Amino acid sequence: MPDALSKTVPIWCAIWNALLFPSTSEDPIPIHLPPTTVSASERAQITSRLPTFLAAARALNLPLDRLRAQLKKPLRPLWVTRDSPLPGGTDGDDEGAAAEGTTEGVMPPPSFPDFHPVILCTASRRVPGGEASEGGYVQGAGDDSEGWARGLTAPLFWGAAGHDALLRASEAELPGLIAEMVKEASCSSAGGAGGGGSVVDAVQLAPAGWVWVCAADALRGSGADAGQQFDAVVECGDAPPDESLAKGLKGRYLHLKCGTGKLGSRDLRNEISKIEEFVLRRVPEGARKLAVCCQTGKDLSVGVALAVLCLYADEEGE
Amino acid sequence: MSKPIQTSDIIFPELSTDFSTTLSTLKRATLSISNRLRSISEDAEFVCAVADAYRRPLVANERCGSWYIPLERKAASAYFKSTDGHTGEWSFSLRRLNIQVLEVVGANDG
Repeated sequence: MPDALSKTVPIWCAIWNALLFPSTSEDPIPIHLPPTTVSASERAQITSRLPTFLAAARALNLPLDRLRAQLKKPLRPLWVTRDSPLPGGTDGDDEGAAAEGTTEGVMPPPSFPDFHPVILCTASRRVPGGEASEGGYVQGAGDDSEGWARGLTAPLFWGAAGHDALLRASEAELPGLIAEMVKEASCSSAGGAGGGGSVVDAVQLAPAGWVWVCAADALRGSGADAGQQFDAVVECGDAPPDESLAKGLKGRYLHLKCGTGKLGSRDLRNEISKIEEFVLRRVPEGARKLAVCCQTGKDLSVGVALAVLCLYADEEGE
Repeated sequence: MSKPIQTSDIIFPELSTDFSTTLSTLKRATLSISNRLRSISEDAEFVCAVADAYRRPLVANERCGSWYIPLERKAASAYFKSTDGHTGEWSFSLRRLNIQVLEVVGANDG
């Protein structure tokens, strides 16, 4: 059972319960841990840390009332593994008997009147002896996909386009098939970088509404369009600053030089202080639309957009 | 004849753990993609069976979790790190509050 399920989530449940449904005595803060996986000693050590976690969480001043309205009962983790019996009369090893389509005679799940069950499911079968695989089955096959998947991602795997083909392909055909799928996927996502006169495909961050996030390619080279749609642009990337953007935005364009991948986040740490001067001095008062972009539109730009909101937006997000 | 001395007998425990970890890392590196994809499919079938049996939505603990949940069954993403559960390193992450998980739990009674 992964540590995330045996410990991280139970701790999370315990703290949220203490935040939302505090009991009169918080000593000790109750926590439910899988009895056979976590030793008594570890349990004691975790329990002793809970008050510190709770204090830190309280200091965040989270909207507890709103959350309490959504969660009317406390949380309680339950652990399900391949060996667990499942409600409905099937046991974990049956090949999806519960999902086979017929619900006749299948008993409904137990009801949990006093709590919301947080069912922690370990997907993989345990292969004995510390081996990774047995008879063709790989334990934890989805882990560390950067290492084995050659660019294949879970969304690509499950997408309608390739799923069956991937499972039918032979080992020899797979690298080629995956490469094709990856290429097609990246082409279609870059397809938003339309030429002159098109509207930039950007995501508006609610509820503030004045900060937008997009891929750099959607803005670069189209200074006039950008200038029409946005009052200012911040770009994170390693290509040199885009002349047409600087022109189109009349100087309200900030370029932060950031490499790709992990180097990018390191660079960003150095560059990010530049946003202060930019937002305070160069972005006009009452600007309605600030675009932040990076190579993917989903990475550094999101961090920078959040920083801008944290620093320059009030409680309502203005 | 007595059992021949194993490497693990003569190497200090910490080192022999590293060795066996290295060995299993090497073994994992050679596992075929098709076996992996098939195993993932099998695991995903189990996951769906659990969700059906309990009649509750599926939340993927990213990023590995997404491999075991078909796209149309994935109700939300969660970010719970193993390192926050490691012995001695237990933590309640203030950066990964996972409030979206609370919302799914509230809406679906679990």
